[in-house]
Amino acid sequence: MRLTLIAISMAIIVALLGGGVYALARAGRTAEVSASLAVADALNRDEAGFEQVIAPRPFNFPQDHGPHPDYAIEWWYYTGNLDTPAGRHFGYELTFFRLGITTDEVERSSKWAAQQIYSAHFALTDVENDEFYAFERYSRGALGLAGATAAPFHVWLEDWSAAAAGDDALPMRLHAAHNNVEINLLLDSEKDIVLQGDEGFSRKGSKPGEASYYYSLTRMPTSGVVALNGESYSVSGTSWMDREWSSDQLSDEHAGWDWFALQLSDGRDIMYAQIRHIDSGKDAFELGVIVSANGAYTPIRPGDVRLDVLEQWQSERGGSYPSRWRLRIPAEGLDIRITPYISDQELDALVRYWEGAVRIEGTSGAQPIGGSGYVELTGYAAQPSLRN
Amino acid sequence: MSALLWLSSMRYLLKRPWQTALSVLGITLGVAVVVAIDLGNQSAKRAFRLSGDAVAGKTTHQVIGGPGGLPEHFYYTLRVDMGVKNSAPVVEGYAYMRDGRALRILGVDPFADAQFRPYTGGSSYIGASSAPIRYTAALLAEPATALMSVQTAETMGLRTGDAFTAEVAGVVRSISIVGLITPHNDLSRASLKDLLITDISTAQELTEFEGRLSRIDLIVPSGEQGEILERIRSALPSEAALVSAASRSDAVEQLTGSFDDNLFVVSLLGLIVGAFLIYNTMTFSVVRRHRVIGALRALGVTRQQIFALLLSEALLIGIISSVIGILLGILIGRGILYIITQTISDLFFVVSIQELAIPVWSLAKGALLGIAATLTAAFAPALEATGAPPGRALSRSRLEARFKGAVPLTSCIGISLIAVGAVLIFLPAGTLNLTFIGLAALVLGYAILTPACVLFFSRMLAPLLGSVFGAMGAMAARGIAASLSRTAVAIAALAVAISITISIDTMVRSFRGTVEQWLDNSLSSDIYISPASFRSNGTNVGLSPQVLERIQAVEGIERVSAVRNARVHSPNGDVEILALDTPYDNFIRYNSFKEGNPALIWADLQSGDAVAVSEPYAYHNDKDVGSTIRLSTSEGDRDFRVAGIYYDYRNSGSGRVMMSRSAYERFWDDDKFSGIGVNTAAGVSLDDLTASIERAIGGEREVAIRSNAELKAAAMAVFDRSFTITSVVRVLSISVAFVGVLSALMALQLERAFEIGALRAIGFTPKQVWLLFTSQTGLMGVIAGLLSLPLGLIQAAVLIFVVNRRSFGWSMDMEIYPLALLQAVVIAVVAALLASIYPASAMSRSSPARALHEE
Repeated sequence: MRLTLIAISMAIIVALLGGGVYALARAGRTAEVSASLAVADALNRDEAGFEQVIAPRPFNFPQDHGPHPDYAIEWWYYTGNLDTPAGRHFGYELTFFRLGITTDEVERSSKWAAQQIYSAHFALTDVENDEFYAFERYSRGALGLAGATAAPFHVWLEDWSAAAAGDDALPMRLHAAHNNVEINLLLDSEKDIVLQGDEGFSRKGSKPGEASYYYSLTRMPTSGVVALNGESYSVSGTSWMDREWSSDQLSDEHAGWDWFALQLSDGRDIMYAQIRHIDSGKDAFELGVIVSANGAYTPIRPGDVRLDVLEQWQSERGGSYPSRWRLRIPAEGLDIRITPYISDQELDALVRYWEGAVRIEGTSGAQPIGGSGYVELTGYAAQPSLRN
Repeated sequence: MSALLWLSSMRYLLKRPWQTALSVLGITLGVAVVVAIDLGNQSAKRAFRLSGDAVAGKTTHQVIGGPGGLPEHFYYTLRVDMGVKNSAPVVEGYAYMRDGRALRILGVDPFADAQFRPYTGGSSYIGASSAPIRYTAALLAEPATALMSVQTAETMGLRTGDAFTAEVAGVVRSISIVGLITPHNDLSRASLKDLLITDISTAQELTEFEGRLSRIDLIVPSGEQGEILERIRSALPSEAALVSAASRSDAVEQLTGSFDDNLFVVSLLGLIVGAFLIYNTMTFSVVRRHRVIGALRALGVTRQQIFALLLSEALLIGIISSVIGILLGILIGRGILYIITQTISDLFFVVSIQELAIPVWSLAKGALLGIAATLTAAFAPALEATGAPPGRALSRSRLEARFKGAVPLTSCIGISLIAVGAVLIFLPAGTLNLTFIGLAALVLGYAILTPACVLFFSRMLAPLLGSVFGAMGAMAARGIAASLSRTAVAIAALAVAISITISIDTMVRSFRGTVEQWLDNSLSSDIYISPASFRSNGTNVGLSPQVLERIQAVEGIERVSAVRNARVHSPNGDVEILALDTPYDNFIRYNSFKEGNPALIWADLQSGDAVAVSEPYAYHNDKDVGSTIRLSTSEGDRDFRVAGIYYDYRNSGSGRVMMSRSAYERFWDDDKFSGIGVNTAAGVSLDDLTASIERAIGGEREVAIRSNAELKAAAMAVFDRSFTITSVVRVLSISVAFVGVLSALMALQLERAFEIGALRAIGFTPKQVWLLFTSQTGLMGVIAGLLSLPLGLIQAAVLIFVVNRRSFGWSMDMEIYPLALLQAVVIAVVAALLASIYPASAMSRSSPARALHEE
């Protein structure tokens, strides 16, 4: 019957119309709120009133373990190589940065107002599984969320912390946990504090102010627990602590640095760093120290060290890093090869860099020598490097 | 279907452009009303949702505090001690510009916020160098710094580094812009509109909320909710609540829900009128072509072909009219959106919505409605036309006879529809939707009864008019009955349209009267002091206890009373509290109790164990005097006895709970006041006292000091504004009705050519024909006006006693205004007469010979 046909076709037209419209309406709803930010250069470092690092100063402990808010940037840098009794190797990094915003005292009624930003990086290298875990946190130096004190020694960002285990700064306890990765370590020191550079005044460039105050604990026997994906491993090994503060240590002409903290099997520790200029080769700056087994130390002078890059590693996040080195110090009779335990130890942080556990093999004179250490490589990622 | 048939149809439509245009116009207006109201409503809803989305971000749950917010250290407990990492503290408020524009302040911790609201946090800007640190640094370390979207800054003429002044929590502040956010899509642009993002420290300082948080946002993945939420819940401060973000935005939608209901009623009424007009025009268009149809049938065109032709024609007209109607609706929608925005800002919270969202679905609804209504309306006439025997069209007289013959049957249908409608409306357990359906059935039933009423009126009026105006008068009255199939439909359309104006008018006036009386009874102070920017937007704006102390110290005051409006939690959702600090004398004068003795209630409230609830609260929560209600207090969940029920016409969603100030301060951590009322001592002038109070409060606070009369006037102004939209619908429905009457009369005029010719032939002058036709139309207007009265009053009663009661819980007195009823009849007559101007003069000018010849 024609009538029925007409009725049916009308119904179909109406249904199609409605359906199409409904589909259209649905399609428009999947967008997400997304936006980006352009910012005024609201803070000019020169006006913020920070002290410059231009001359040596006397160090004073335990006060100098604590924060130095007169300076713009400061860090507490812990790295270490750990082994389980069964010989499973882990590397860890736990770093706290203090970024001063201003030294101006502004009267604020809110406790959230802050003149310090704290940032922390926590990384664990699981050599056996070729896995690298890294986390970054930010918080403000207010309301107890993050901060640092000298006595008792304590630096923390939320529940990540480095703190004196007793009344003195040493031994100290490190704790950090994120998702299924956790470290809980006790660190002591075998050697006295090493004041880097000129009695702790460490130049990073040729201009005044391109320097930091810098001291280290280069050999810290470490024991504790590493927890990973629900398993706990009791571990022991050696850590290294670096403490630096400054206001303007690198200029825009510096491309980054290659920094080595090496703990040799004969008890010697070596810190060696090269600051790279954006014109490769020009005005490169070297610094370092050799710490003997008994704790006596001598600075490394330009020309003392020969460093050759043996391999490159290509980051899938962009950028190419040197990845294996030959390091020679003729005066010490040292000729070693430095190899990352695993290649990808790049921290995908706000400012991306590579910081990883390395294995040392080579000779000291005629004797074979080994060891472990940490290497930090900045300015290689496909993004601007950390300057200030 | 053959092309020839189509051509005949097109020819017909095009040869009568006015008729066709009127059909199109009628449907167009109907569709436009529905689309406009729907668009306005949808845009408002979308704007709420967007501003909610921008602020909520990816939040799944929220910890919300009592009226005084959350203690800020709970954030530390939650994040550090309990390890709830996906947590972000929020402090909210509003900044008001001089021009009345408001920015929503969103105070966040940029470090904690990145996962919640990407635009506020640092980590999503990798690649932008150290910019995030820089802006974050400025936000954290520099007071009164903020971010806003590029578009918001543009409308305010601001650039990065600029500062502007705004009033926040009663104090004028200077706020500097340290960064601009560029939205990546339209959705983000809309979400970020009028949003001022600050660090939590700045937000606390601006809104004077130091030590406290508005809430803590959480992201709890759906798989892990059970355990985490339970842990958080067990650690909550006692006044606080843990709610899902969805339920939070539901609460906002609930707040505006009753307002939506009212809008829906209004658009439904518009729709009824529109559908009526569509039916009206289609019926005329089809019925008038009986002769053509008869001829076609004689030529061998089948019934099915005729039916299909008529329906296709209707479909075509429906589509064209719907498209035009949608465009018109979009235009009107902008105006309606403005009105809705205004109303919502008045009643609920500050919104600024300029963009009309045009959801395809709303347009489709309008189109489907227009097309479906046209087809449905064409169905009956088309069926009738198909029944015509070939060769001869149904004669007008036979058609009229048939129409009249059907009157008893249709009247029965009408009466049963009215009965069904009444049952649906007054069903005790009925929902609002059933009420609406019932109302529609009732109106339709009433319209179907119209032919019977018209017959009754014309028979009754014919002898009367005959004796007064002679033969012409009687003819005018009988003529209406003679062309019943035409006149009744026009009268019904007009009556329904006019009834809508009566019902809206009666409802608004009754409501207004009730509110005015309530204000008189409940506002017993002479002078009122409130925060300058106080609006019921859920922020903690208030006057400090110091302000109260300063006012109390002023000379010339007899009594001081103070109120606090606040939102507290209960196991069953949020509850609005009205905390009263008022002397006994004042309370006794507060003559607004529906149930309970004020003196006893006062004593009960002082004890701290009892509360009084507003009528809407009692209605929505099914509470009576003697029942208990449970509230989350600083001493844990606690039961309060209901000592009385008071009238409250403030639009507060689901009602309020009144308690004494002392009880409020005991159970919640909040020392602010929302308003302070002062009674002058004998012999003190209002102006002098106002001046002394102003001096006492000092210049650093922005407060509003208003006299009793000013406050009442302000309240009534808000009331009137919130009914602007109903007036718009009234005007729209009258114009729809006008078009309906016009098209009916034009059809009538064309059809009665022979009758007019006969009259002219027996000696009627053109002037007499004109007079006859015009008086007949006027009479139709009178009948429509009279018929509209009971229908209008019935609708008003349904609105007042059923719709308002069910959606707001208010009881109101219905007041009938005789003058308004008279006005309605006058409008009906004027509309009918206006519509008759063109057809009447055309008729009087027609040549009698040609008219007779054609027959």
